[in-house]
Amino acid sequence: MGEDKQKNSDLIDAGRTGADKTGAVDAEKIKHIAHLARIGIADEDADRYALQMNSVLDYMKILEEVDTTAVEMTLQVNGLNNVTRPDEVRTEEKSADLLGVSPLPKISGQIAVRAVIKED
Amino acid sequence: MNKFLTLREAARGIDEKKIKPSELTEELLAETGRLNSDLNAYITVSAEEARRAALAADARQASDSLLSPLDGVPGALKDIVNTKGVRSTSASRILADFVPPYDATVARRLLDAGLVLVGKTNTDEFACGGSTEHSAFGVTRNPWDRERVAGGSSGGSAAAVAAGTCFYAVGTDTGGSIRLPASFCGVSGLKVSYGRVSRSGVTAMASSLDTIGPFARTVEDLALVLEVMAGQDWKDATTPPREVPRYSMSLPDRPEKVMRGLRIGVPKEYFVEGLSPEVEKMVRAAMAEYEENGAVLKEISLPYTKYAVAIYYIIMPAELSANLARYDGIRYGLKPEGEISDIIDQYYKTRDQGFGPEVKRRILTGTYVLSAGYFDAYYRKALKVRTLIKQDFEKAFEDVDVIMTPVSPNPAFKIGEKMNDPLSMYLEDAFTIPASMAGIPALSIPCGFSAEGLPVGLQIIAPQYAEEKLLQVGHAYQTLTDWHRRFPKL
Repeated sequence: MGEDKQKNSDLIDAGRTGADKTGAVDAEKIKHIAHLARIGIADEDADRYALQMNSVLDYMKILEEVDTTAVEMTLQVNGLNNVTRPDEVRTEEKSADLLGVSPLPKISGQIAVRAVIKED
Repeated sequence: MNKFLTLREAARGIDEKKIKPSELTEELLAETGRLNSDLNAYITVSAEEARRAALAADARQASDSLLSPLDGVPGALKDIVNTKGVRSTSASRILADFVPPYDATVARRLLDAGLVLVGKTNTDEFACGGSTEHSAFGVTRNPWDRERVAGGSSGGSAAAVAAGTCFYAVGTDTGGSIRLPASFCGVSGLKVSYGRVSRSGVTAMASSLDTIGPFARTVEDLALVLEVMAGQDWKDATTPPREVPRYSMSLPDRPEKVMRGLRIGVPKEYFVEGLSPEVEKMVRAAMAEYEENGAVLKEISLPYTKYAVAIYYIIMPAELSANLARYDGIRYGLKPEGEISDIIDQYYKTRDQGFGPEVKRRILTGTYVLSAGYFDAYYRKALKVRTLIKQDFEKAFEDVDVIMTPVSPNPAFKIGEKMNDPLSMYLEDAFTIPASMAGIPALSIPCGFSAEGLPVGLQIIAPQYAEEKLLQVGHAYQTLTDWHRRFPKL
């Protein structure tokens, strides 16, 4: 039990003493990921996010000690497969109500967005 | 004073016409008005809707046509549960003015049973956090100690019940977000089996883990609420066609009926060095109470426990980053400040201004672990370890009926204490995440108070869909103890 106690206190205490500064992401990488997620991020915030993400990624290294070669993935837990229902139209919400939630202008039942394709 | 009655007692009073729903509602709205500016348990108080519902319940009471035991009883919903016509913010700036055009299934079912909605409770933004400090609407204070957090993410729901502003409240639990605040606020809270309660209309966080469940003062009250909330819903394909037992009808009148011969697993991985000795003492005393009444304690091992937090912070952000992609400022949400150059810039600015730091952190982590080159190392690996954690529980339940553990290593921490150290905050969920990974139900009930007067919770975990058994086991303890009958001085 003594050894288990030690191992598990690592679980509770890991990361409290600071991150591994040689971790996987830097500010530039953060900016790239932020672009993929379509979040604009200020330069000074990118540094902070990099530091915090590295501390979390570093913690995840404990997974390397688990041998998962013969283990199946768990994607869902309730055992249901291919749930279907009859293809019937059921309209409870009105489209005007749904459109009304958008902050953008509406033009003939559609949301007006900025042009995606630009003229030269 | 009715505010600290149990839901059952309030329901009986209404049924026997000793309590009028509208008077009860006024009493609780007055308490809410008195306390909310300090506690910040509610983002929105829906006084008008509550009064209207209470008057309708008055009429049904007068004509002996009450809809259910919940009819006319004030309750609250976490603000990620969407309510038609009542602002539902998910505690985010990006949805600060969002008034949903429809009700979540769980809201609809409770309203149809007679819910008097006091208001929408505070939470960490998009349920992302363990302290309710990550709310765009400010932190919820713990009714037992205003300097401390109420836990999270359903901290508003827990504090609302603890402070006597409602008789029950709905929360959500993805990695511990019902159990942790229940423990920190000294109320009872139930995380159900994945799929037991429909997620339709509840803002999605991590879709393979999200569950919706009740808070109340007693386990009996949880049973009364759950039997209304639970069951199959065509709008959520992950709800199985399983019958919903009348949970409140099968609770034992004498504790030994449940406790005698009950096999309780005590997993050694949860009683470790980081656990506060005070919390350990109270949890062990609670288990001794069961033992004295005929239960059998058995030390067990759940060897993959220590990997649960690591895989949670891979799987959850991965699913969250996909779910939150829908907040693009087009179909819902915020109109960003500043000049917008093109549609990409609009996404950038909407999401930068709309999301708070913790949500951004998680979206970034999720995007990262799903990106090419890292998918196998993080995401696929995590899903495999999830299998091992699930198997830990399946093996354990071959020999025991329930598992008992602490809910968290420590009682409620001070506001601000962990805000700059996300990992430290994440580790508060080390004891609640494993059951979430396995999709199995778990209860948090009060089992004592620390020397500083802070509540401590006992976690009871049961096999998949064994909510009936779980509630019986929890109720039996509350017939022998009165930790759940202590209330904060407010």
